[in-house]
Amino acid sequence: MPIDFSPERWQKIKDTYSAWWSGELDRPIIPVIVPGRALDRPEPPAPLLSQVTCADFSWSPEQLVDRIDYEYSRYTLLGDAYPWFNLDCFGPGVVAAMMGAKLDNSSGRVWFWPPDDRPIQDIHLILEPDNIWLQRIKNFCAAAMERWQGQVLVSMTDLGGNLDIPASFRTTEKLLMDLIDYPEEVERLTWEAHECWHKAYAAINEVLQPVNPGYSDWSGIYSDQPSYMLQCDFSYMISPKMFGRFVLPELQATCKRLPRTFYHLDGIGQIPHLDQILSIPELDGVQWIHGDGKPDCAHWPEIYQKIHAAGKRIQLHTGDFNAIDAVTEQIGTANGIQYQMIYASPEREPEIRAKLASYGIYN
Amino acid sequence: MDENLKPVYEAILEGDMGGAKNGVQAALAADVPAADLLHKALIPAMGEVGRLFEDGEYFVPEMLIAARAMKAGLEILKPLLVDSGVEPVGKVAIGTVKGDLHDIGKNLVAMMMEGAGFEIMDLGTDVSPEKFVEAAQNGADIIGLSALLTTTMPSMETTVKAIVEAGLRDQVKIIIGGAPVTVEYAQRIGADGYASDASQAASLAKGFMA
Repeated sequence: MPIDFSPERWQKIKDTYSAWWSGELDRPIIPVIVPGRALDRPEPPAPLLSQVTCADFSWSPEQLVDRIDYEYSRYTLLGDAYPWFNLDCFGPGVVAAMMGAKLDNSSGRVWFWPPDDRPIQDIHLILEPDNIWLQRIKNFCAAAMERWQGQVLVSMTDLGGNLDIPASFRTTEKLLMDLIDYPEEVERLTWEAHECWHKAYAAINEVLQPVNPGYSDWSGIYSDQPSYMLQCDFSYMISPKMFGRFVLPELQATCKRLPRTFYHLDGIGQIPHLDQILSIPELDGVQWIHGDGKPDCAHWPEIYQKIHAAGKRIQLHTGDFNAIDAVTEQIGTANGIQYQMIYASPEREPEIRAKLASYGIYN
Repeated sequence: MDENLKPVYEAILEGDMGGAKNGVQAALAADVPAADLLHKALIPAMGEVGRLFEDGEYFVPEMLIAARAMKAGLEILKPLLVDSGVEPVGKVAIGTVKGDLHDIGKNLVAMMMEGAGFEIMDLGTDVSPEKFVEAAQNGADIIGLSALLTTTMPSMETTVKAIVEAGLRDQVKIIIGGAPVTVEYAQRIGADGYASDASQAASLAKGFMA
């Protein structure tokens, strides 16, 4: 049994998101995945591509795609869900590896380490066209485009963010001190990272387009134009003043270079930067991550109200339908809200369908 | 503050490593006892750094360079402190738990505790329960466990259990911290305390040794 998603449903997804991006959708976007469809084919031998398996080059891209196809064929896609392969499995900030940083997934989670220990003045960030990780990702994307012919959208890989990339070459602790010791060198590295980031983005899109049915990233937000969830996790640890000097200019530049951009506001340490982030006119929205161990997204009304008041869209990250209702009430509208993804057990399908219908979403 | 101590105190607050070294050497040359430099300049300066961090005036970079300046001064003082029989406040073994490779939070806590007069046994990241048990056997008064991932938090509980099973629980205090960690979680796994940041961790540790 193949992946259950017709061209007509794809068109509906595109129309829905088109209305959402233009501010004409008066309901939230809610994608729901219900695994469990019975299949009449055996499970392929290749592992699911993940941070655990990404460094195993013994499987061909075609075998990996076949395994994903099997997995996705088991899904029932409800609400605004579409077949989307999240290519974040090479770790957060893999563009650093494409420039020579060491990728290590031996712990089951991908980490990036400096290739050597050298002074910041001697670090120069250059994208390596023949880099094994860039080639692996491009080869995977080519196999996916060949296999799926646009039925499954393959997301941009998790490229990483401003300062996060230089941190992979310098270590986070040293780069934090560099902000004070060598501020001009840090600025130089952020702009070198900026250029490499955009080169990697373009190189991967060259393989994905025009077959890929649109653009997305690990957030799952669909766009018919180039888009990305921007970030700077490193900024959790710095002052708003430093954010203004070292992060904001590069963010502004990327927001001008890409037609659609969101910002991944990761944790309470980044809240002091929110006003500066919202001041970027070209930024389209914010994804607020309250962080592990903190109350879910229904419990941060001030954040959502501020984002909404700035005219930005909102992606909700955790919780359930109750969180969607709560945030809708907090900001006074469902317009501009997208929920990242709800995974539900097959037993919940009737309940989920009823809830989606209450938002006017029918499949 | 004594005019010989003030330059050291201020250099640490400003993260001026060279200034801290010079200030310590100048104070020693003026016959200021090493213990006075430690207790009346270095420790109070790091206490003030902690206060500024908690108040949102300092962020991690400012804290790191202050700690670097403090360590530079302390390196000069250490042999003199040993010679004069000055004991550390206590011994802390600290590490990021098994499966977790984050180290900034752990390093900050270690620096603030060192700045509070503790001897630090930095066990690094991805530290097994057995290593923490070994540290307890080697005389640690306090065990500090750090985790930044919900997936590695269970390693904290495993470590506490390993210390209990080794019969060492009464000999050590256990402090836990990290972004996903809460005071409720600390209570649930049987830790003695939870600190939400490095400054609080140092205060908590001092409280245990009082």
